Amino acid sequence: MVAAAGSGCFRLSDPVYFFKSLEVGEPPGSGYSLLYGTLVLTPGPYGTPRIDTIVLRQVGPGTRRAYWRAGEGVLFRAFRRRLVKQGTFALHLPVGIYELDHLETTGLLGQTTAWPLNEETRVVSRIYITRPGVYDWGTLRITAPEGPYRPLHIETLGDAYSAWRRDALRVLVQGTSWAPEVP
Amino acid sequence: MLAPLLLWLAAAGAAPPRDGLVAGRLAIYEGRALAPLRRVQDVIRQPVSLSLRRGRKVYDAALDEDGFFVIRVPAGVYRLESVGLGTRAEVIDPQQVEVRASQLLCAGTLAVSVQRLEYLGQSTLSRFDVFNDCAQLWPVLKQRAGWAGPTAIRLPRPAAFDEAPRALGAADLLCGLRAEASVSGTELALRGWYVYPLLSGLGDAGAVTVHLSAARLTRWMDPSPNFGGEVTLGPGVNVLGLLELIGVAGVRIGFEGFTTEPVLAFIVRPGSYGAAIDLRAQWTPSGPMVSVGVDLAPFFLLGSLL
Repeated sequence: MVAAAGSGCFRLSDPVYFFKSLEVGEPPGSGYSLLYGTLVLTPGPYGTPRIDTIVLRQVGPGTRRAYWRAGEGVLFRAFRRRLVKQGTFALHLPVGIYELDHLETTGLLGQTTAWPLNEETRVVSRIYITRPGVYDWGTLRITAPEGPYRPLHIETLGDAYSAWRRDALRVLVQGTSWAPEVP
Repeated sequence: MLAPLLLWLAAAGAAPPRDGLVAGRLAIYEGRALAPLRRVQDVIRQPVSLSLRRGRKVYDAALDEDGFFVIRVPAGVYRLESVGLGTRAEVIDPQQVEVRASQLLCAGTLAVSVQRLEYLGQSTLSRFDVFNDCAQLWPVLKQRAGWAGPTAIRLPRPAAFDEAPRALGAADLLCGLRAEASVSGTELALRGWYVYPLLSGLGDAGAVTVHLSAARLTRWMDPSPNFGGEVTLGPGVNVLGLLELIGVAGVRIGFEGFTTEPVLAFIVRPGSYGAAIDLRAQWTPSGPMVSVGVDLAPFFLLGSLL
């Protein structure tokens, strides 16, 4: 069983992790913001890839490039804050400009498969975090590739800061220092 | 006599920090030409603003149409991170701005340059500079601030990108423990490693690490008593998340049947961080040696299962 778990087929914490809720946690520093977003995958001709990690790239300011991940492939995940659940994620980020860089699937022997995004449409996902606060990215619909080695396609559903998302976010930040930011 | 003095000292200590003023000029360049703020606002159809931040609190500056600004804030160190453009902003490399109590500080000219004004707000195509032209600015700044008190020049300085230092928890630190068994001819080494990540996380592609090891050496085919030790230290780097390259130097300590001598080793470690093969080439005054081994990081493996 340990060998099978080690090969990435499953993790021993899966039964517990399944019921673990998405948590926003407390910011690691006063200058951090909370980015709340949802990815919805629509199947392509080759089915829907199982995505477990969302990777954002910081593209600014200036030449600043850094990667920020929200994923399940973290060590001791059963004892840590859950960053992503059913496509919805909550990440702490400093001031900067971010875009969705790629998605990942953890597979056999813990190796990751990266799902690149369409270069032209990746800009659609760009978000500007200009001062500390709570930012809603809204829902991004990702269409699975039309063939092997083809990039994913993104489109925004334009529901950022919508009433229903705000309600969901309000519940999520309850009891944290983010709560005053989501009245 | 002493009591009033102590009371005064306590009151002074508890009093909120006194305000200070920062003033300067915001200049936006299109190519090499200075663009009047009004024209910038006409092009981007958004008001231009400037603000300083300390913690979660943001203080907005009073900005006039010539780009002169004054900010009154409590004394302290602030971050200048963006030029506001209505609902958007031109995010710049973070700058640190110091504010002193009861002083008017000149921050010089803060220049944002873009090829075209339409690019403002993209935050990836601009350049930010600070110019010390306070000598020319002083009369205007004092007049705009309505200030006749003490003044000083204190230009913004580049600040660290990340305000929160990287924090490694107990789990992260425990994952640095690794156990290795390697064989070279008749010599068996049981080695304990501690790996500390300097840049990136353990096992991440491009991670730079420090490796400290202690080993127990024996000649398992030799019936006579033999026993040696080894301590090494050196850097490592993870290549593409597929293998680690490690270089270490240290000493072999002879107890029984082993010679005390310096050792230099180079290790290629294909595999994952949790478990891998160790291919080791080492040099001592006694001669070179090649060994093959396996290792595993028990806490890392446990962490990846949980």
